[in-house]
Amino acid sequence: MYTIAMLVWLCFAIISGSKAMFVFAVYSYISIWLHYFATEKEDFKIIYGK
Amino acid sequence: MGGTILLFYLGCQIVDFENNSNGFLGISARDWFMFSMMIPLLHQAYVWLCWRSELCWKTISNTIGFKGYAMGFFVVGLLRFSCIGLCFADFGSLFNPGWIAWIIAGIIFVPVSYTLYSVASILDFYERVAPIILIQVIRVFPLKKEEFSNGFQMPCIQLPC
Repeated sequence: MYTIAMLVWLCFAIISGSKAMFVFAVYSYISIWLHYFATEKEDFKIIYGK
Repeated sequence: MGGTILLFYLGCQIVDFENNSNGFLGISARDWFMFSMMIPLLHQAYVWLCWRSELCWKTISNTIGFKGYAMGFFVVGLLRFSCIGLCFADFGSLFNPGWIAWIIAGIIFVPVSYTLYSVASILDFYERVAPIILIQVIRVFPLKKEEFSNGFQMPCIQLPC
């Protein structure tokens, strides 16, 4: 989901041609993966076991 | 969280709003940007706090319950779409989008929309979550019958302002 769905902000950035929106799109994409590896993956280890 | 805060800081350094006086709905491009950037941070902090407190002390189960958590999750998630305001406020600051931009965005949007639809279906969003959010929104902003000049009537949300 994170690989594909988070590209939605890139679509908005492309059709608006906004620099700030491009920054937001990149920020959202990287931060969600950081969140996955740093928070969710660790929680999954406890919830589902290693 | 630390990594996201660092990214937030870097993002704010890249975009220069000093020579940008554009706005949308009376809100400046800078404010739209800051608000849009804050939402993912808030969303991730919410998930981190809720899940860690649940796993350590069962806080969510003993307080708001999973339904309450899910509602907060989806409300903040929908707030992510506030960045659409940023698109209008900062339109064309990098390039003027033409039909090529629309085609590229359309090509990317096909798998994106299918993924979002699939995830929402798995989560029973349409049947279970969306009605709960709608009921809560109507509780906060009650519906009021509005009559237009041509006699047409429809329910409208009463905003506090």
